[in-house]
Amino acid sequence: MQLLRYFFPVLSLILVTSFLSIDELEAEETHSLVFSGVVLEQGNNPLLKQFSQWLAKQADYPLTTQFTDSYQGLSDVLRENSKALAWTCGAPFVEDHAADQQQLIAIPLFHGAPVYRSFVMTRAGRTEKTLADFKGQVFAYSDPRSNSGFLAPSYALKQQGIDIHQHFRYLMHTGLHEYSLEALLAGQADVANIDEYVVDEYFKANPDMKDKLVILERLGPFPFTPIVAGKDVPESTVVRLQQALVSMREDAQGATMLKQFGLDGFVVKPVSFYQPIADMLNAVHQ
Amino acid sequence: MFINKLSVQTGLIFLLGTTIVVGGLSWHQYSDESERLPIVAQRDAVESTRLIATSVSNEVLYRKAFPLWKQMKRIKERFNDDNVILREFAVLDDKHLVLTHSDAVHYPVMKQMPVPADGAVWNGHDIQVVQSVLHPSDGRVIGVVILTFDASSIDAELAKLRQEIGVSMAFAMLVALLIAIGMSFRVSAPLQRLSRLAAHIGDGEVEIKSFRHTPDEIKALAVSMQQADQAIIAKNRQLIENEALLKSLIDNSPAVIFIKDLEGRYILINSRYEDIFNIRHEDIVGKTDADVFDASLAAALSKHDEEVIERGDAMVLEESVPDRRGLRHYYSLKFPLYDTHKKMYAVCGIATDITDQKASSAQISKLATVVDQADEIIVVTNADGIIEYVNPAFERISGYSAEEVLG
Repeated sequence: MQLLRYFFPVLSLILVTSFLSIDELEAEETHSLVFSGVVLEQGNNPLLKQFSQWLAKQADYPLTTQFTDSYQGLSDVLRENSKALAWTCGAPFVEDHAADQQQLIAIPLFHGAPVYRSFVMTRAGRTEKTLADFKGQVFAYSDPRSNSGFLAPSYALKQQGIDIHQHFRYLMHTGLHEYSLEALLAGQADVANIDEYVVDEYFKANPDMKDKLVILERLGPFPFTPIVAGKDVPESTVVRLQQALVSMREDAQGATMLKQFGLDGFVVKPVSFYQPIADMLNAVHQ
Repeated sequence: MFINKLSVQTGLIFLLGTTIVVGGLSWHQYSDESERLPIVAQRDAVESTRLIATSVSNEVLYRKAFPLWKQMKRIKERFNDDNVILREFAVLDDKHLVLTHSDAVHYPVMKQMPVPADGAVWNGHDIQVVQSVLHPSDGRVIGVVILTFDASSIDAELAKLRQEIGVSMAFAMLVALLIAIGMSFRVSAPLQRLSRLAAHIGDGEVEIKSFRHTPDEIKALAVSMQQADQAIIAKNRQLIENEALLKSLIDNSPAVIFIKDLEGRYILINSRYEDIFNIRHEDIVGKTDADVFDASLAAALSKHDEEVIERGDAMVLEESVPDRRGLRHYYSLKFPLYDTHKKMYAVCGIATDITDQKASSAQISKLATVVDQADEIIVVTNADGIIEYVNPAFERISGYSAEEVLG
C-alpha cells in the first residue's frame, strides 16, 4: 500500500516528462531541403536559403538548406533522411518515387504552366542544325539523371534510332546546366541540352551571352522540376507544405521570392503528371 | 678648346671612372642574370608541371574532361610565379587523346594530339614542359600534361636591369656634370680670375679679397700671388732707386759713357755724351757709330769694340774723336757686358777726356827741359823751407847731389 501511494504520482510524472521530451525533440529536429542543379548559382544563392526558411515557417516544418553535387546525391540524402525535402528533377523523382516512395509535394509554374522544355544549344557560328547533326562531337550535360540535360536528348535521339552513347565522341558530364553553357562557350563541348528555365535565368544574368549561344531545338514540354518529400514526411506536413507553396504568391515575401526565382507559383499535381518522363525512361532503357 | 677646360676634363674623368666601375659591375650583374633567369624559369616551370600532373591524376584516371578543364582553368587563372606565366595547357589520356586543352578549337576533346617526350623545351620565350601523369596508387602512366609557360618576363627583367643600368649611367653623367659645374665654379673660374690677376703682378694691384671663399689651394695661390706682387714691387722700387742712382752717376760723370750691343748699335749714352756730341739719347739708340761719326772714325771705334768682344775682357786704350771743340783725346775703358746667363750682350765704354791733361803734360815737359838745361841753380822748397827739387846746374855748381839735399 505504501508503494501504491507513490505509484500514480510517479507514473504521471514519467508520462508528462515523456510527452515533453517528444515535443521538445520534434521542436528541435530539423530536416534538409536538398537542391541539386535546378536553379542557377547553387552554392552561393541566398535565395535558396531564404526559400527554405520561408517554407519552414509557413509549413511549420524546420528546414535547413543542403546542396548535393548530383541528383544521385540528392536521392541518397532523401533515402537516408526520409523526412527530408528536395527540389529535384522529374526523371530522378520518377525513379525515386518508384524505388524509395518519394512523395510529390508541388510543381513550380514556369510561364504559367508546370512544364518546361529542354533546349539543344551550341555556340553561335556552328553549321549544325539539330542534335543529330553533332555526330562524333562532344556533348555536354549537367547530370546523367537530369531530364532536360540527358534524358530528353537521349530520348529524342532514340526516337531517331540513335544511341546517345554511340552518337557522340565524348559525353561531357559538367555537373550543372550553367557549366554545360560554360563548356560550350569555351569550346570544350560542341553541343549541350539545357533546362529552359536555367537558360532563361542565365540570359537574364548574362544578356551579352545571347549573341554567343544558339538554341537549335526545343524538346518537350516536360513536367517541371518538382518539390518532393521523403517517404516518412507525414501526410499532414505534406498538406501544409502544399498549402504553403500553392498560396506562395499570395504571401508578400513568397511573391517576392517567386519573382526572384522567375516562377509564377506552385501547383499540386498527382504523381501521374510525370508519366511522360516515366515513358521516356522506359523507352531509353529498353 | 672646350675639352681643354679643367671642369670638362674633371667631369669626363669622373664619368669615365664611373662608367668603368658601374659599367663593369652592371655588365657582370647583367651577365649573371642573363644566365640565371632562364634556369630559374625552367626550374619553376618543371616543378609547377610536376605538381599539376600530380593534382590532376584522379580526373585523368576517370577521364573527367570537364572537371579537368575547370581545374586547369582555375590553375591557369591563379597561377602565380615570378618568373613564368602559365599560357597554355593540355591534358591527355594514355592514348594521347585530349582530355582538355586551353585551345579547344584547335585541340578538341578526345582528339589525338602529338606528344613530345617528357622534359622541358624552349621555343623562343616559351617553355613547353611535358610531364607524364601517374596513376595515384600503382604509379603507371595514365596520361600526359603539357604546359606552355611564357617566360618573356625574363626579357622584362633584363630590360628592367638595362633600364636600371641606364639610370645609373645617367646618374653618373649627372654627377659628372655637377662635378664639372662645381669644378667650373669653384676651381676653374677662380683660376681664370687668378690668371687675369697674374697680369697685374708687379703693379701692386693684386687684390685677393674675392678669393676669401675659394678652396684653400686657390686661396693659397692667391696669397702667394699677392706676396709675389708685393715682393716684385719692393724689388722694382729698389731697382728703380738703383737705376736712378746709376743714371745719376752715369749722367753726372765727366766721362763719356755709352753702351752698344754686339752689332754696334747704341743702347745707352750718358748726358756727357749728349752734350759733347750734341745728340740726344733717344735719337742715338739703335744707331751705330757709322750713323754718328765719319766713316774712318766709325771704323776705328768699331774696331776697338770688336776687339773687346773678341777678347771678352776689358781693354784700356786711347781714342781721339773730334767734336765741336776740335779733336779730343780720350782715355777709354771698354769692357764687355754679360747677362745673367753669362752671355755677352753689349760693350760698355767709359771715355775720360784727357785732352787738357795731355796738353799740360806737354807744357810741363817743356818747362822741365828748360829747368834741367838751365845754367843757373834752381831750388824748389816747400813752405817750410824743405828742399824738394834741385836742377842739374845745382849739382854741378854746388857739388852736392840731388839725393844729398832733397828733404
